[in-house]
Amino acid sequence: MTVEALNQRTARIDGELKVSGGADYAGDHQLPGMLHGYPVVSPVASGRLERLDFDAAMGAPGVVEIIHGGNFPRLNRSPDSMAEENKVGEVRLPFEDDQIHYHGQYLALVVADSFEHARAAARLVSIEFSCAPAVAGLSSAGEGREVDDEAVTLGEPARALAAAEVRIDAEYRIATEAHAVMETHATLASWQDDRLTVYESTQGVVFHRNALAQVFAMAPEQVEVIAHYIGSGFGSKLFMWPHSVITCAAARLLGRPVRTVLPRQWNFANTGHRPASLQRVRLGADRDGKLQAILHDALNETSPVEAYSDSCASATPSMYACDHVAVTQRIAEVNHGTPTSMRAPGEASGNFALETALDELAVELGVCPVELRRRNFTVRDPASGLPWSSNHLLECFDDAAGRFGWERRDPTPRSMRDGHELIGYGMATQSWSAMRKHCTARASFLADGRLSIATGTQDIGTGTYTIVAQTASQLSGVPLDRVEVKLGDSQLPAGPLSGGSMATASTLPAVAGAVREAIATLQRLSIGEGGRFEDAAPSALEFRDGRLWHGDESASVAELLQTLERGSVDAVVSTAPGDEQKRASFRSFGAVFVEVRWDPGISRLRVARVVSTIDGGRMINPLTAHNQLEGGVVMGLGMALFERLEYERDGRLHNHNFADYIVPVHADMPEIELVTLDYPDLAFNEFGARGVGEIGLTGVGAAVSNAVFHATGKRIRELPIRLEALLEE
Amino acid sequence: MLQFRLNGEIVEIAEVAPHESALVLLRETLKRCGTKEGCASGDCGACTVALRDPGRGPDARFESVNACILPAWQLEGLDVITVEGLAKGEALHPVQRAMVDHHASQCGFCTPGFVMSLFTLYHDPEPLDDHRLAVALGGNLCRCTGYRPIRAAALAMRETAGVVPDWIDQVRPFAAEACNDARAFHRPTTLAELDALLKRHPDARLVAGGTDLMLESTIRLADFPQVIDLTRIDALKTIEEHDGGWWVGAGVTYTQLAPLLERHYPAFARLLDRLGSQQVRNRGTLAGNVANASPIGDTPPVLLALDARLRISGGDGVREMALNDFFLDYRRTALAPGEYIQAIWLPRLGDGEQLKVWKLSKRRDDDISAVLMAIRLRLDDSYLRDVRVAFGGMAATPKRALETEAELEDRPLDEAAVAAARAAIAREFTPLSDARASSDYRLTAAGNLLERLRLQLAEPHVATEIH
Repeated sequence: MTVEALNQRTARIDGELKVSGGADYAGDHQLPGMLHGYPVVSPVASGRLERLDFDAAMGAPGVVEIIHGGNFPRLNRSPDSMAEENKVGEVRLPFEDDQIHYHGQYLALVVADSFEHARAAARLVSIEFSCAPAVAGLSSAGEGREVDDEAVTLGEPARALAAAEVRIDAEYRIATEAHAVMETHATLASWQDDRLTVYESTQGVVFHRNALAQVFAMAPEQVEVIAHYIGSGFGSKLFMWPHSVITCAAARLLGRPVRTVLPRQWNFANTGHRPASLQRVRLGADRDGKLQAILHDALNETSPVEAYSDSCASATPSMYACDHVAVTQRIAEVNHGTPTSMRAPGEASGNFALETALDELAVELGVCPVELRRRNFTVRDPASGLPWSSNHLLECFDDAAGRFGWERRDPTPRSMRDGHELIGYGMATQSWSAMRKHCTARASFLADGRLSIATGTQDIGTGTYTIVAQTASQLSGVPLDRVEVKLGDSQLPAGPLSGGSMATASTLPAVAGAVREAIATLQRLSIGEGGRFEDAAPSALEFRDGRLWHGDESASVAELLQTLERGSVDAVVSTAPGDEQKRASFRSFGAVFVEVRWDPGISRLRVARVVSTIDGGRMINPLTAHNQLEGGVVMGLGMALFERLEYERDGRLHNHNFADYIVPVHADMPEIELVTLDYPDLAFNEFGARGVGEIGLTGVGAAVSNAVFHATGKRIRELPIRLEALLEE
Repeated sequence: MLQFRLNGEIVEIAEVAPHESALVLLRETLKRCGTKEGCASGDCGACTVALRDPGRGPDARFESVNACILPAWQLEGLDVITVEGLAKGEALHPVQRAMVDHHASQCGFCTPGFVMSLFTLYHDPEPLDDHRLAVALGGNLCRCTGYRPIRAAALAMRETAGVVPDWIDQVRPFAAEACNDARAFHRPTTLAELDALLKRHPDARLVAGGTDLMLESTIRLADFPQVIDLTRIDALKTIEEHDGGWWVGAGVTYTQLAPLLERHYPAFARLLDRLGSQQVRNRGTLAGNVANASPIGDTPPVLLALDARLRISGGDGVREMALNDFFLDYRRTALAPGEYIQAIWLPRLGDGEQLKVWKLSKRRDDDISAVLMAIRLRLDDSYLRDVRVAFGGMAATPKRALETEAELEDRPLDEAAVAAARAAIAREFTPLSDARASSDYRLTAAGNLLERLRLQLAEPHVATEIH
């Protein structure tokens, strides 16, 4: 069986469990003697904690203990290293100092015998604090500081810009955006002697295990992190947040399991967000629209306790044929919780600025926006100088523009109408880098005929269980329902984070390797002493359809193992990227086209249609892939139209609930037509898959704002697009 | 002791706190963790379960509700269906099967809520159309799929093979043991009992749908020592028809009110489609929306435009007042301690009278209004008569626009009239700027809605409804 056949519309193998309430999420687990934690948080954004009074709370029914700075154990900060795989969301340890850095910062954890008792007592904790002036938002945070190592300069951008015939110079703003995962973060920690077991809603059981081992000064094998099912993450669950440390410490202190399920409002404060950003883009071009210079300077907010860079301009040097490019990144401290990666981190924000600027350039030149991008298509990655491994962006433009009906567009703003409504067409390039990490997987043929696959990655909803099972099934011939997949446990062979669109490209090669190795072992054993085909020549054997064949004779896996008197035959294989990055640049591209409808009378904006074509390598499972891409588009619409974490003038969160933080609902959904080109990128991995988790979201914000310009004649350089910005009488 | 029937099996729970939610009871006490908590505020639908009152006999239908803001005590005597109850062994219910076949879950966390919303739709005998589907799904958030696969599943579910548990079609009443937890959660069945309880516990909180009150517990962490439940009092659950209008009892849910609105106030019925979500409408009441006195409540401006009246009970008997006199200030009403709204009078629209309602919100469904305008008028040969205009989201309370009404009265609604009314709106309102909309947006949009009314009256064939 070759991997060429691995393009299967296999329905999600965990679907039945999910529709019947059987999938176990971190907060669903209950252990004997378990206690419940509920956080007490800072009511202000900046100041100093003077005193906590627990008298009333400690006397409340069911309260066992209140964990706070005064009784918190001395722990160690995680080294916070990506390379060591112990990166954390916030390196500051809980209650480390009396400083209040942001609204919602943990001040204590009430631990009680029931969730309701813990919640009721949390209100009884009285907090004495002094206030300090807060930096309430990026607009009052000043210029910040430049991030080392992120500046890139190609050629002589300043000179090229000055010499260009046409120039664009504009600033773009994006509001703080929340992941707003459906499942809030949760930790259930339990200690048995010197072993710690943690059920955690995490996108990285290995990273989380390593971070806890560092914090609690333990060997990694003493810590087990379990995440069988995760209520999505979008980046907010990649790296450990303080609630996990507090809960583990509480469980150790009290000698009982403790579970903390974050309440929705504090999930908004303490588990990261896409940082607000301010970007300046300067473009220089000749009259034909050939780009002469791109200068992209980005600034993003970070918290006072963490230097988070969103690397907004990082993709810019790779996007178009331009010899003179400069990008810089700055960060500025704001009294908000710590930002983190959010779906298509950096690139989603940078793309909005760059792709809107290109639309402005197209208007300035009187050139069709698609044509402008075609003229600047690059056959190699200008950033690395290497050729693309596989790049079909031009076909994406053709395909999406054709399906969208772009040729009907009259370029004059406000020229297309339908009754009360003005119609606007806009487009943007979509893009996301392709990444791959090491992965180890185990394949075990079991005596009952099943094939068990294990790897320490996790399925955050993207379909990892399914594509691992279908890969193993197709390589071995063992039917899908006889393949068992174990993920989401740090005790399994180490697998990658589920993030950055890299899980598929990282995991499948290891799974395939392990399956092949297990088949080879089974064959070797079967021609050895006591084997089913003892003394047969290896070349005379063939493994297909789940059976080992020798001429016309064959035996099933169960029979082979029975003959061998073995319970299982295992193989563990590790894979890692090779030197392919030295030979080519790996990046997915796409094109997204949007139709908006603007009703000037009531200042109402609706997205009516989205058409996108994605070149993301091979789709291992078109169903799960399209599912993710479509979901990405819809999240992009949220970013474009609704999503904005609001802060008061003193830096306190304003809309940290699902009534006021607006995410798209069913009724907001436009028609979405999505096509994937399915060119395998075989230089990247044998499956040719580049991953599709992020790219669907990119480009949507710019395409919407460009369509809004076409509909209204107003250039909006801020997301989400506020109706007020379009208001007319 | 609290007794109800969960997925066909009677369960009994010895102790339940007055503020305890059905969700906490299901997940923590009964360890049925299929039902999820996404927000604890009735905004996301992850906790959706289905309820049916077997006491209503064979016509009893399933209704979706948000378990996170449903007082656990209100489960008493009901059929409660959760996501764990649908499949029969390995065989999935058609809704579940369709969800799997159409790839309608990714992370799966919102899935149980969607399954239960679709379950109630599946078992509703009415034919499935786009509108009913949108209504059923409006209260469930999904962050992964982008909704299309869920919609595909919904459209296919009635043609999908599957197994429905036998007990679903058998409406068998059972005798729930009378609630005698006099300690804290009171469930009177008559107005006399209610009055007696109010005298005994003047500080008790009244609950009907609980769709607002319960948030005080789940989000603001308040404790309710005493709660009096209105949902068992038959006298509050009636709609009395009179020549001049209807008295709508305080216990009538939006869902129960919908057919009346559909017949007599279609614009009000359209608004109801966009009020909260199906889960909220299945529990919430008009009286709750009025008593809550939020400046952005959806129904008060409509009721003000209709000249609704209130029958208020408690204290020294029953009194009536115009709704216009009821809202005193931000979340302050004319209700004295120990008083409650017993019923709301909806005047019947006279000959030639029309009611128009527009709600502007960021998101189509499940959203709070930025501006809501309700207007009642009579057209007398293109002259406006008996004009009532009321706004939500424009002041500290829902408010009649008296100067605007005066500008519009006894004249045709032409461009000059709209301009005069626009100026009047700017004189009598100074709306706030907040996350939903700026002050300018509110003022301009309010004026533009009058322009829209002008267009609608002048060119009735032009589509001016806001969807």
